[in-house]
Amino acid sequence: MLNVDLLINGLIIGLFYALMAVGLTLIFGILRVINFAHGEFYMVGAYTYTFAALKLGTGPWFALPLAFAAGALVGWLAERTLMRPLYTGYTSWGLMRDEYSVVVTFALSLLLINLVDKVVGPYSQRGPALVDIPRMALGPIMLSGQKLVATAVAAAMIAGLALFIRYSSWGRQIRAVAQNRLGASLAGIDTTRASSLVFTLSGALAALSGALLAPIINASPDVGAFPAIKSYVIVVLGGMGSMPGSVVASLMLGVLESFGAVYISYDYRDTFGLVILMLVLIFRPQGLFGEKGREV
Amino acid sequence: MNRSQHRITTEFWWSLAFLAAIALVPLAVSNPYWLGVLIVSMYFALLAVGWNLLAGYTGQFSLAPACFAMIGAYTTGLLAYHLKVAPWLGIPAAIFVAAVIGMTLGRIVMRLRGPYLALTTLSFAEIMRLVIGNSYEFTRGDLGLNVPGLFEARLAYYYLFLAVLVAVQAGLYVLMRSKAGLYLQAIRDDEVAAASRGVDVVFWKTAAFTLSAAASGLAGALYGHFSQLVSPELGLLLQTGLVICMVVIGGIGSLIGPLVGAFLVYVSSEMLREVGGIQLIVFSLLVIIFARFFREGLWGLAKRVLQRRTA
Amino acid sequence: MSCLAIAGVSKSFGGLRAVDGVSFAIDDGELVGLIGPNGSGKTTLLNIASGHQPPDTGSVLLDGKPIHGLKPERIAQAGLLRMFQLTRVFRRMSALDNLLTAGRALGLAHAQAAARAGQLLEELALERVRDLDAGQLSGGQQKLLEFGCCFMVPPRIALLDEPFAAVHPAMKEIMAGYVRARHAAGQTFLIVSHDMPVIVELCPRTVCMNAGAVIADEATRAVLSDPVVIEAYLGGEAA
Repeated sequence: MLNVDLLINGLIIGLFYALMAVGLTLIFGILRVINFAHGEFYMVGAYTYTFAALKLGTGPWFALPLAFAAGALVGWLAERTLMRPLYTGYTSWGLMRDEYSVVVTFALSLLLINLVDKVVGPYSQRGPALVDIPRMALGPIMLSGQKLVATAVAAAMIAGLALFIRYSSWGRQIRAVAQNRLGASLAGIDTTRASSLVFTLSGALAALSGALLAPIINASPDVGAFPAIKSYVIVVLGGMGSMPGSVVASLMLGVLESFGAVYISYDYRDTFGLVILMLVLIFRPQGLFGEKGREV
Repeated sequence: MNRSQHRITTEFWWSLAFLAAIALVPLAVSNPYWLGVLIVSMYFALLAVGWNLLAGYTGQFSLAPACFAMIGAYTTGLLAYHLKVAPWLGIPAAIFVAAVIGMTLGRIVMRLRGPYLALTTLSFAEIMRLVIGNSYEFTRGDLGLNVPGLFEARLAYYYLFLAVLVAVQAGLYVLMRSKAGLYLQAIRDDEVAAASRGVDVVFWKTAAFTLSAAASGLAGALYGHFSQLVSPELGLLLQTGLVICMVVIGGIGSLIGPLVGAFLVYVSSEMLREVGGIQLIVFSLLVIIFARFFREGLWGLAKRVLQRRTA
Repeated sequence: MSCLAIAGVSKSFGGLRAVDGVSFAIDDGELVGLIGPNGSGKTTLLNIASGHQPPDTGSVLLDGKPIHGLKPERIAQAGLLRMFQLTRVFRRMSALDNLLTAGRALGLAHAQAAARAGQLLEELALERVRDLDAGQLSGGQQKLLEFGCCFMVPPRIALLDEPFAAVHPAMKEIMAGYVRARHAAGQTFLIVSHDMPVIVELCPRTVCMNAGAVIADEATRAVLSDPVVIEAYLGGEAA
């Protein structure tokens, strides 16, 4: 029974990881950069949710879309001001676009953490639960109502995103740009709009993660650090740009950590993912599902 | 002397002038708190200079400099704590261990570039920090390790750090003026082309990683004996972030930028601390602005001003 | 013993056979052209020779010694230098430093390298821009610079990949003149080009490839009037 419990909990955590990581995957697919400020999108969502629900009195259910919107705004701004030069051609870094994006997103991360720390204060805040139902039995295991509802929302968002990418015209454009930016632009697709959309979505989804988990993981300025690292692991494991890959990788990571914490080591549970990330990048850079990166 | 040699020599002399000024500061300032601030600035300067060699000159943007400082600090710290090894043996040991681990990491990430390199080095740094933090019996984990000091007088530390900084800077100057400097920059600009011209890319990339790690390890060891406490916080990603800020603000890829950037950022950070903790906001904004618009940083700005004056 | 001997070299990418059993030899002092329609495998062959790709089968011998499968650095040190189709220079280093790097990497001491670089800068009309960052040079100047890097230490053989493509006629003249002069002094060349007039002017012998295989290897005029070659270009057996 313990194993089933671990499995289900692992899958649930994995689902939240997935919500967090798919945005990063999309960004990498389109721009070939890792956004090191991704964790801060999560943090923004956690704070927006907590503040809207508690201080502005909107209540948790209205605070969720607010958090989503806040993340979208930050994501959109980040792309507009910082990332756009990467493909409109002008940065003072010339061809060192990867290095530029590392420095700039790293600095953005520092900026956001310290801005929030200054404006709001460093103490953690607990977000209100979405529903008041305490622990309930779901088949063989016990789950809190909050977890259940949050999981349902997360699953719905991921499914919605998948449908969007697969079937909507914007989704098709995004996929085209991810495959071949030059080709897509020649075919008339506005690649800048696609990039902007992806960054906005990425921010929104990460923020939603933060909001959904705020009742469990309190909001604090550096709360985004851990989820961010998980996301990096997932993006690499799932194949740098493959959305289905990153969903599967998220679930796998969640389950691995869940079992690993019990059977291998509780203290080192956070290192499993990191070790895997290193091994994958060294031996199989295309991840489990992705395409091999091409050299110009 | 051709133009680029001239440029690097100019940068070197300016950095010596700057360090000479630092040497004279204790004549005017005797407050131990501010001397301590300057000593820590020198610690960061060592990290910044080492990271600049790897990232600014060789193009390898590793996210592990703070990790190697932590490794250096723990090497000398653990040797002192468990085996009562004296610091004058512990510090060289720290350099050696950091260099060996740096060399290994460099070989491992040899074929990785850009975000892949950043992610791998980031993972490495986090793993090391977690391992050290979790090994309570051996390292006392988050409590930190008590480490013997070197001197009674703070001033002695001041001049030791300064001497080391001057030596490292001089070594870097000699390196960058030699053919190694050409090879490293060639690797930064175009690795494939460098190989086809006959540059031994594997060797020189590994060398850059090794030297950078060694400098960081040395810095960490010195800092450990200065603060007399070694903790995993030395290896936090935040510390690496600070180093990156310092180098970018000062002027990445120049000999003097990282040096000045380190002092500027850390000292003003301490000064602004009284005003109320906005220093990191200001610095990260500066980094973003410089990275976005003006890669040459403050040193680049200073050069332009000087040129306009003399033109 | 020939300078460069390519024997039975093949290379496939997935299902595509890019190079198909190519064999030919270049003797000391020859100036050979390599032509063929787009996609015929010329650049892949060059990549194999210079060490950027390992061959699936076959061998590449430089002065009788095998170099296939070696790293590009080793092959450069052994005396095979190449130019790239998409110009590669060290953009943030000065033109002079580009040349110095090439020279020192091949074993020249600083003074020697500096002297040689000065000579080359003059011969290639790059004196004016010696201290500019290579990234600031015009496309043609960058090509000349890359060209110059191959001659800091006269190589056993120089492989030039489309050196005249999209280059200003004035620079084309400088390069062609340099090639002629060096060839007269005994330098061995293999030049890949689409520019037929230049090939005719410079190369006594030409090899033609199509769909990965060698379809002609004779005196240049003969190759250009060879019906098989004409078919390859006009459509028959396209790649």
